[in-house]
Amino acid sequence: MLRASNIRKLASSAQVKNINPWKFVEDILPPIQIPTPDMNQKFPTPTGWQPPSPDLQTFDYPYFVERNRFHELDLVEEERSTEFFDLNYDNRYQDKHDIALRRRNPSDDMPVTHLYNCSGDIFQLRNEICAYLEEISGEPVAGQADEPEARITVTGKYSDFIRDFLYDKGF
Amino acid sequence: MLKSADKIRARLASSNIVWTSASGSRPGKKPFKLDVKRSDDLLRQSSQSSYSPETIPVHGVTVLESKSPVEDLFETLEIDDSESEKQTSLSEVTKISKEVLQEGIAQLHPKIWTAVVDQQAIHETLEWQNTYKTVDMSFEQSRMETGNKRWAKPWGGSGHGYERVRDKTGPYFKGGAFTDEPRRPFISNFHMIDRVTRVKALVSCLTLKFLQGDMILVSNLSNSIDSISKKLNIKREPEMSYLVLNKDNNYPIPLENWIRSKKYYNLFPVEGLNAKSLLKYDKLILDLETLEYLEKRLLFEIERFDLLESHDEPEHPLLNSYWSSIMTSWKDEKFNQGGYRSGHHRFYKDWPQSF
Repeated sequence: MLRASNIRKLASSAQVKNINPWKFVEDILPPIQIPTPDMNQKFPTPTGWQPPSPDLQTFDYPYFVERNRFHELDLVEEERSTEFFDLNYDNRYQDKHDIALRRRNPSDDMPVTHLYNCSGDIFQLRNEICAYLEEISGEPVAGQADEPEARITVTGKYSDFIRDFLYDKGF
Repeated sequence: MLKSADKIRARLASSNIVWTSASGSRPGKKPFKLDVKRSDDLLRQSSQSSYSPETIPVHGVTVLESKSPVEDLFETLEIDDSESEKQTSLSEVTKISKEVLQEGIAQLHPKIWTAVVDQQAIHETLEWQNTYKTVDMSFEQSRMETGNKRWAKPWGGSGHGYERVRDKTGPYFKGGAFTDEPRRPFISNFHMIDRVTRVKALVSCLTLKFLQGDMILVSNLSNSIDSISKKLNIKREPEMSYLVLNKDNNYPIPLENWIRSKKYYNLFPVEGLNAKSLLKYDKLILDLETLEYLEKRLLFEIERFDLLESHDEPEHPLLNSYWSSIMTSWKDEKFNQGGYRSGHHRFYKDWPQSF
């Protein structure tokens, strides 16, 4: 007969205690701690990754670009669509924001590249990066140096070129 | 493809050099010299200090056996034997004295101790600390709970120009009862902030403590903390409150017994470190072991990567209008404003025995 006492017994039986509901998920998830890369291989790796040079402190640049927690240079490409209504302050326009986002012209979006973890004389670094990119592309390249955010933003998608530039410097 | 750095620099106009964060310049290691005869000299020489930004001196109390009484408070690292063997006119008596010395230099991790101070994160964390444990137990009064007398007719029947009322406890009176449900279950204000924000606030507070000179590294946590902190109190600030960090709950017993009698020294385990306490107490006292453990824990939190957290699902912007179209007046009820404030409170006896 099914009773409340029987139900309580089922909930605390040994069969239920030994079930790990996350078993199949745990096998797929990667470990939380990011491993340090193997330094005994030839650089640059086949993918193109390079560690920072060991003599970096002796070069004495006025700026510095750190690596992120994945031991990479933090370069992010973004398509900036025009901003419509600011939903942080007014949520009346949330439907209209959605509609305008769908109805916009994607060719008006501005492609942009961000470089994070910059410190020191960011303005000089920005000037150097912009000069280098203008030489490569032949078109004018605008750059923004944001000190509190530790970020340099450049119009255009030049993440690979900036990465090569910084690898050659030793960052 | 890359032109030499000289050519690139030649093309640049002269730019303003602005030094921003502490990790902007990475000079080579400068030789350390602390040549101080009096305690005032330390302050005068602080602007010319040759400490690189991420190092801090470790102080300790050592027992000296000197043949003459030692007068200097701060001594050089290289103790010249010739000075201590001065011949005095009095008879040479070996005197055991305890002096506060700088025992060495410790290196601090820049990501924790010279991080960018995020004031927004500190504010959010403080607000969270103050409110996440609170419970809203407010309720509305019924007619018996207002202070007014029941069944005391204010005016007799009709003819006075006012409505007929039996007593002044009704909702139409100021200070009367409410008409809605007088009671509701307690609503807990429990909520959690992002781990990233909390870590940023902790790291910012530690940075503030270090850069403002409120951090004291000690070689051994013991009664000597008192003398060390007093000797390092150059500005002669009165009534300093101290936060003594220990690695575990298991404090060394002499330290624990000594601190019980002290009013301004407070023992914390590393698990109990929070932004509010760091800002409340004036000084932070650390041991070398504790420093290692703290840095290890914080670096793990800063550098960890959870795949499940890497992508978020933002709420659809049309949800609010969707809910309001379904429910008419229910959405405006106070107990229906969101998940954790809902009136469907699950009391502890209904929770399952094992999660």
